[in-house]
Amino acid sequence: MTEQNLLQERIQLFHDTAEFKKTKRIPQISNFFTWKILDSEFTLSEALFDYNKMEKVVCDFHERYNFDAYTDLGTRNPVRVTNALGGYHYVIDDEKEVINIDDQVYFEPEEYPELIENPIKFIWTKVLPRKYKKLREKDALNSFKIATYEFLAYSEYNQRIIEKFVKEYQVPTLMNMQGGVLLHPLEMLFNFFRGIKGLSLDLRRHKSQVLEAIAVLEKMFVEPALAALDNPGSPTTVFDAYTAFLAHSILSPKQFGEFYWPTLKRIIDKLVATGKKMYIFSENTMLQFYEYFQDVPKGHLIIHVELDDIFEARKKLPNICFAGGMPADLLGYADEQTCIDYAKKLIDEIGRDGGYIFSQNKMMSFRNDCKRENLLAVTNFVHNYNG
Amino acid sequence: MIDLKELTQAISDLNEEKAFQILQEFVAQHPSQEDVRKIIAACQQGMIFVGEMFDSDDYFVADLIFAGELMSRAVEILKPVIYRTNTKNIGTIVLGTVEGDMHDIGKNIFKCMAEAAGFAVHDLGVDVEPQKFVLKVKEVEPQIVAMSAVLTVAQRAMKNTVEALKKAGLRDKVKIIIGGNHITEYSCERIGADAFTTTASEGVSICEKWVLGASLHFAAPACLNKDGKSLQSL
Ligand code: B12
Repeated sequence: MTEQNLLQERIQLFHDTAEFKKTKRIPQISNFFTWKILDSEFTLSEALFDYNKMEKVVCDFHERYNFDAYTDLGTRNPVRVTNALGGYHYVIDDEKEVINIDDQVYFEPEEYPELIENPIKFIWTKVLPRKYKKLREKDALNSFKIATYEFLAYSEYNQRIIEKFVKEYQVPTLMNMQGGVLLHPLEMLFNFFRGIKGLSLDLRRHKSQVLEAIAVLEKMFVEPALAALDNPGSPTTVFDAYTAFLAHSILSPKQFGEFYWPTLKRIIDKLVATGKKMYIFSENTMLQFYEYFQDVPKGHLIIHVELDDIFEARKKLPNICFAGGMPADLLGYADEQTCIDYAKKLIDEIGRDGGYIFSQNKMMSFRNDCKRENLLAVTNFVHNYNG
Repeated sequence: MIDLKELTQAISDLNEEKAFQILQEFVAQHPSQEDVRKIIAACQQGMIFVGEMFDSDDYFVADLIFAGELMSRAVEILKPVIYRTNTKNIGTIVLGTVEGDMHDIGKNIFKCMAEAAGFAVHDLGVDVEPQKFVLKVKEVEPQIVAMSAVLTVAQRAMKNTVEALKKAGLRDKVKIIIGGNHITEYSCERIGADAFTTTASEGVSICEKWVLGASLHFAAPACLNKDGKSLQSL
């Protein structure tokens, strides 16, 4: 097989799996984040502050484990960019091997009307200066310049690593980061503006304003991304769109119907109309909302589950392709055979007829999330096992 | 005297307007200490109902966070009249999210419910080093140490905290409960805690059982669930 074929083969494998076609083998996605660094010769800060080192980390990782696609190529925590702006949101502790980041709360509920009136102005004049200390200081312009260089360097690394993976390793990108990210407006409120506590209170105290904010943010950010789905998909990318569920974890099924589903439904309708596929990284659980997803046509959604029982998910939603399932608890603490047995069970029970992508349940971040010998054994087993 | 049932109902319905109105009227009446005790009990009962409704899937995380906020505001309103009241105190808990972990939503929910059940809770916050637990335990001599974490890495910090308590000669003086949604029987054993849970209300039941039930000094190395059964036998 020529090299070029391997890239195509991988993409085809993902597409066939998402469309519930029986495949030769089960595709594997790496859900490894900072664990990759702990598995390398570098410390967290060495790799996070030096793109050449990070490049070595992710390349060595690929050469060692040979996944078919990656949720992260060392770009999840852009420490240099936020630090240049005085954000210092990421506190790296090399001794304890953790990254600390706090809830992000940048406006008060009284300010919803301002956000609703003109979100771009509000974000630039209120949210960003609060988030980034240096934008409030005297030589803000200079800091902004430095941050722009840092951002360019970050983008350049992004570009370079993606290219290297596509050309050298024949590994497609999992999602199209430019334009393909369809973050739900409620996720924006949750992750960037109001934090988990703030939003929980707003849902009750400021319900109509939350709904209005969702509407304007949808117009501003989601609609252009939806329009982009009319274009043909990228030939080196597996899935056309990507989103993450986090904010859903605080909602009741009824609130999900009010705050979340309407925008999500519009996204899904567009995917179906344009014949596209979206990868959803679903933190916590999502099966409490399964009824909403029952009628989504097959072949459009891939949901990566964390705390949901993936076997039950398969039964409840036979129309959805699932990813995940391999527990960090086993990879980190059990022996090789136990891990392989569990991987086999996953494939036998939910992977035989397509609709299942092998991956880890958690964002693998810490040393005890995995042991090298277990990961080698499991990736190797899954690569060669065909059910 | 105001209608206690109505207050309990307003709190369990998360109807803050109504609850605050009742509480403000109450404070304005220069209530007796006995009445203050009753009104606090009514608030706590409301929180217990909230917990039950979370267990039965009628309330979700946002509702619990809201309930926590409602309770702390209620306490604010009552402050001018509760300074001399001894509310029921069934035991003392030292609580914290362990070192390396900044997630505090679950911890705060447990705190709220434990307080509603009558515990005095000393909350050390997030990213709490083992030594901080040790110092607080020495200072307030709690019956229970409660640790929270949702990061897998934090299991190590939980274990370190248990070790630190051992080293300080405090391990046998307290019961240790750990909580967080990835905690399992295995992690509980590894860590050397006395009990684990993935829901706040079960955690409170276990703590209640410890302080109201058997003596604290029985030797039970295995992890227990709320029925007091060893998990190995489940
Ligand atoms: C919200 C959230 C955040 C918020 C936290 C806000 C806050 N103030 O807490 C923010 C955005 C800041 C955040 C940051 C990060 N997060 Co985070 N986060 C979450 C998320 C989505 C929800 C957590 C939550 O609050 N759940 C709701 C509460 C109510 O549930 P709970 O904690 O389990 O509590 C219940 C019970 O367990 C129990 N309980 C809890 N504690 C206690 C204690 C006692 C004593 C008792 C009795 C009971 C009890 O009572 C509660 C109610 O019943 C989870 C996903 C998940 N699986 O949970 C990821 C998750 C925990 N995060 C994760 C990660 C990786 C991170 C980051 C490292 C990301 C990064 N690289 O920047 C940082 C780490 C920061 C740090 N050092 O802690 C991963 C952890 C993976 C792993 N390997 O462990 C998760 C699992 C996501 C994933 N899919 O992989 N996160």
